[in-house]
Formats: sequence, structure tokens, C-alpha cells
Amino acid sequence: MNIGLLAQYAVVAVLVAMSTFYTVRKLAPVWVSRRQAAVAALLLKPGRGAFAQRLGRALQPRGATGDCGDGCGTCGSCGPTDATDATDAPDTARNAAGEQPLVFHPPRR
Amino acid sequence: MSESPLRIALVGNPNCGKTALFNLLTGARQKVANYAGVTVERKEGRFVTPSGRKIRLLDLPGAYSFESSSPDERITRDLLLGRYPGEAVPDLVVCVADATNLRLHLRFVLEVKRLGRPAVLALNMMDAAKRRGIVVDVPELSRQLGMPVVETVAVQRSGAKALIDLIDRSETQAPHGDPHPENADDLHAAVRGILVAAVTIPRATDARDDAIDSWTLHPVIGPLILAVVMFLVFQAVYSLAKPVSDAIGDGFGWLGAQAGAILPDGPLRSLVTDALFGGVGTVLGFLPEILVLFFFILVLEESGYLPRAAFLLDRVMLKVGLTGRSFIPLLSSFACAIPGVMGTRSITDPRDRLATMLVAPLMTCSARLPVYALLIGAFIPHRAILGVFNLQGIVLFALYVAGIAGAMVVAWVMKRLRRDHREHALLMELPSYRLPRPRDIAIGLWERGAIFLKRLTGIILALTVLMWFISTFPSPPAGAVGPAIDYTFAGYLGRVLQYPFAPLGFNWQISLSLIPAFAARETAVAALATVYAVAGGDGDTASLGYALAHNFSLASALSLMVWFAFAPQCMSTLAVIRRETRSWRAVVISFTYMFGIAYVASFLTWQIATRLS
Repeated sequence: MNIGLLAQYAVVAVLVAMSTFYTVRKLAPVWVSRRQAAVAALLLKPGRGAFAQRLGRALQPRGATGDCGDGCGTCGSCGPTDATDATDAPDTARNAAGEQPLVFHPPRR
Repeated sequence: MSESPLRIALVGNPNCGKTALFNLLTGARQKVANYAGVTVERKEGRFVTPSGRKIRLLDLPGAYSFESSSPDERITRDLLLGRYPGEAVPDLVVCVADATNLRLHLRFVLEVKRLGRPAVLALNMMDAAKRRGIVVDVPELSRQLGMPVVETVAVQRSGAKALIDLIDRSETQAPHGDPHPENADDLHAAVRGILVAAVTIPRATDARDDAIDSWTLHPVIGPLILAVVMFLVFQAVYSLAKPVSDAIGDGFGWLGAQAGAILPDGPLRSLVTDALFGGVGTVLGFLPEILVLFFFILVLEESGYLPRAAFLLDRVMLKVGLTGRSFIPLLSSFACAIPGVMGTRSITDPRDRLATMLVAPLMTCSARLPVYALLIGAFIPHRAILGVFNLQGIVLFALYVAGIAGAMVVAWVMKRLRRDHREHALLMELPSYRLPRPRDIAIGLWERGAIFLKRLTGIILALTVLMWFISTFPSPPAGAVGPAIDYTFAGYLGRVLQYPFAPLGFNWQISLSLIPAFAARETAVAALATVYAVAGGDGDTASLGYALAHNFSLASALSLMVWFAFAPQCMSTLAVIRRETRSWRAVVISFTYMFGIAYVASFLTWQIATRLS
């Protein structure tokens, strides 16, 4: 196999892996977030090397954001919480009415 | 230490312009329309006044009274009464009232006043009020209410200046005084007293509205107008969008060919030409159809005609177990079932709300449009009917009608199954007709286009790459004689899936495309384009249509269209039903009945069409 073809396979492998991760994260954000947190916790254990610590910090979930699960977000009124995420989220993460406010900031003038 | 922002809540009756004011103040682009019940949850924005004061602004769902009990109104009530978990009572309440309808809107203002919190009244739509000859004595109104009153026009750039100045001057305090203590227990009488003292209304209703309503709400002519409007919209979707759609398809076909010529032979070239240009490019070709459809929906929303349509359909909807209130959520579902399901929060009765929620996914959402447009383009001839109408547009209209009819039948069956047969009368405010503002329509279309492109470059692209992968690997073994795709993961998976779907007339490629469509319906088009492109063919709309027409019968195409009309192919909708009902039971019912209907209807369509052809 020549180098050009090998490079093509490498690029394709990266794109397929990225697509898989994106799809899974989009369809099951809470599950991905939990797995990500578990891996991050493992890497952040005391005694791990500097690289593992850095990787662990990078992997720590920053809280779910997003639209309606499939990227629909069609109307701007489908709520702040990712639909799939909202379904799986523990009750403590939601208020009694099941909504969280959308936050907007004024455009730069 | 930085100063904590002033918390302000916008409250008022539905459709008084709260969200328009919110957008004006914060720079947000929340959906606004000319009917009640668009905002069903609280939204939060921030802005800074000219003097540098930080403001945290809450946009709350419209409410007629604190005694109302629909889920959206409950949010407003609980927040103002300090019962909303995790949210303190706002520092200032801005009561927004439609200046053309003060008789109704001041009642809620008086309820807010009784809370004893700092409040201000924003008299919105003052331009429309002046046009109708309504004269408001603002200082007197302010004295009567015991709170500051400012004039606003939320649809004008400087329309909130008076309100911002007032907030900046910190001239807000708890309402004081009651010039009509004798009416303390009767809010209607209190409002009448205030109107007599401070407002001159030459005519209770707008003469122009009455003249138009005499036609649009006529028991015979009204439904005819509605049917003609809807029919023309779907005709236009096909007639106006087709040339642009074809041009995009051809453009992507050309780009794909150029990319194929530049890249060396190998998997990357196949990925770029078959998945990127062939798959995703084909879906992009349907953007014009989506924009044309939304242009008409936005115009109808802005005009104030839609609540009239709800009024016209109330009797029919009541007969099948829904109410006229269900109309707006069901209409929202033509964009996407998710806002439709959430829009049911404006329905007070839990039974009616659940029924609306369960049938909302049957409305034809915009994600189905690319699938319909592809199949109609491939199988239905471009022929004029009666010299004016286009056969393809008629078929598209019929598919939309099938979705509506399916929803009515399901609602009727649910009505027969339940024990509670009470009916709820429709009480709905008919807004004034308004000429749609081109800027609002343009922004609405821009947002729609951006949402479509976000889906296209997000989930649809990712799924298309995965479809390409399973359609390409593994390579056929040495000495294989059949087409290469038969030996791939897709080939094996498709043949397994074909068993349950063969009675519907679906081949293995179609059966396979149903899987990614569960995440986003449009992906079915991209998946088909990719599979046929990998199997040998060009990747654009025209060649995909050609490939389908040669691998697929008309009966199978009709069966697939019927499948997409009824099938529960949207994970996000099911997730939102779960969130809104807090019940897996509703999700299971929704999925099962839709799958059952889709299967039976597709089976019958295929059987009948096969026998007829």
C-alpha cells in the first residue's frame, strides 16, 4: 500500500471516528457526559502524571448545553435543555417546572 | 465588588408584545407571532442601560389571571408569587399591555398591582392605538393605577426608549393608592372606572378587522378560504422552489465531479464525492422548498389569520376530541413537532393536552419535506391539472392532508376510548390583522435556513459519513461476483431489515435508510443518495431520482411516502413527550400507535397500488 493511500485511510478513519462520537454525543448526551466524567475522574486521581492530569481536566464535562437533541432547535422555543438530556437528567438537575431559562446576551454594538 | 443586576420580569396577557419587547431590549431573536401562546416557558436575557446599569430580564408566558391553571400560565403566577423554585421574586415587574385592548389587559395589571411589588406599565402597540383613534391620558392612567406608565412600540428600533429611561432613573416603587376603593373586589368594574377616567376608545373593535372577519369567519366562505389558502401554499412550494432546487442539485453534481477529478483514487475520494457531495449535497438541494413553505407560514403567523383558522376548525376538532386550543400547537408541529408538543402547555385541561401531544407528531414537519420532494420529483410527473395546478403540488398537499386526517382519526379513537367525555368550549382572543413586516419575515427565514444548515452540517453530515462507511466496508472477498455493496455491512444489515419491511414494498436500500432517519428524517435522503452513489452513480438530486425510479416501483414510492407520513421517526420528539408528560407510558403509546398506523397504511398502500398498476 503506498503512502498516499495510507494517508487517505488515516483521514477517513479520523472522520468516521469523529462522526461516531458526534452522533453518540448528540443522541445520548447524558450517557456520554457520564462516561466522560468517569474517564476524567480516573485520569485526575492523585499520583497520575502531568499529561494524564491535563487530559483529565480537558475531559471534565462542562455541563450539558444544546438544542433539541437532533440539532432541530427549529423555533427558538424548544427549551434550553437538550431533549434527550432532559429525559435522562436526574430530577435534582431540573426545577419543578421542568425548564431552565434560556440566556441571551445583547449583540455587540 | 460588582453591582448585582436588577431583575426585571415582563408580564402581561398573551399576545401583547412581551417577547417583541424582550427581543428589542436584549437583542435576542425569540419567536414572535400574532397569536396567543407563542411563549410557553420563561426566557432570560441581559442588557445594560445607557447609564451602565446591568439588567437581567425575564420574559414570561402570557397570563390572563393568577387564577388560570394552564402549565404556561402557572410559570408566570408562581414566579411572581415567589413560589418558583430557585428564582427570587423580581425586583421590578414590567406589565406589558396592548394599548388597543386595555379593557382586557388592565385586569391582569390590577392583579399584579395587588402584589405590592415595584411595577411599571408599558403601554405597547401605541402606534396601532393611535391609528384607531384611541387616546390614552398617560399621566391620568398612571395616577389611576398608582404606578409609572410608559408608551412602547416593541416593533420599532427606539420603541422602548421611554421604558429604558424609566428603569435608568430608578423611578420605580411599589404601586400606591386606589382611586376606586369601592371596586376593590370587582376587577372588571375597576377597569371600567379607569378606562372612563383615562382612555377614550372611539370604537370597541377595529372596523377593518370586522370587515375582513365577515368573510374569513363566515360559516361557509371561511372554511373555503382556509382550504384555498392552504392549497395554494403547497402549490407554491413546488412551483417556486423547483428551479432553485434543481440548480443547487446540478451545482453539487458538478462540484462532486470536479472533486472526483482532483482527488486520487481511494477511500477519501469516495467519501468526498459519494457522502459529502452526493449525500449531504442532495439534502441541501431541498432548502428552497423549506424556505418557501416557511415564508408562507411566517406570513400567516404575522397576519393574525391563524387564530381565525383555529376558530373555524373548533367544531371539527371538538367532534374528534380536541379543542380549538389544540390548533396552534398542531400548527407549530408543521415546523417541528418539538415546539408543537411544548406548545400544548397553553392547554389547560390535562386530557386535551395529552391528546394534542400524542397527535402532534402526525403533522407533517419540515424534516419530511425533503423526503416527499425527492419521491414526488422521481415518481410523479410534472403535469398541469386544469391548466393551472401542478400535479406534484397536489400530491404534496395530499400528503399534508393525510397527516392531518390521521391525527383527527387518532384523536377520535382516543376520545372513544376514554371515560371522560366532557367538552371544553374554546375561549380564544382574535388579534387584530397586521401586515407582515418584511424584516421580520426575512429574519424568520434566515433563522430557518440557519437551523437547516446546522442540522445539515451536524447530525446529517455525521450520519451520512457513517452510512458511507458501512456501505463501503468491508471490501468484497476475492472472486466475489455480485455488486461490491452486497458484501458491505450495509448490504448485510439491509437484507436483514428487508424481512420486516418487504410486505410494504421496500427494498433493502430503503429499509436501511430508515435507521438514520430515526435521528433526523432528512438523513433518509442522504443515506439513499450515498448508498446509490457508492453502488455506482452520480450524487445529486436528479440522478438519485433517476436511480430511485429505476430501482423502485411507483407502488413502493407511494408506500414509502405513507410510511414517512405516519411513522414515529424522530427520537427528539419522543424525548420531549417524555419530558412534558413525565411518563414513559405516553412515549410507548405514541411510538406504538404511530408505528402500527404507518405499517398498516404502507402495507395497504403498496397492496392497492400494486394491484392497480
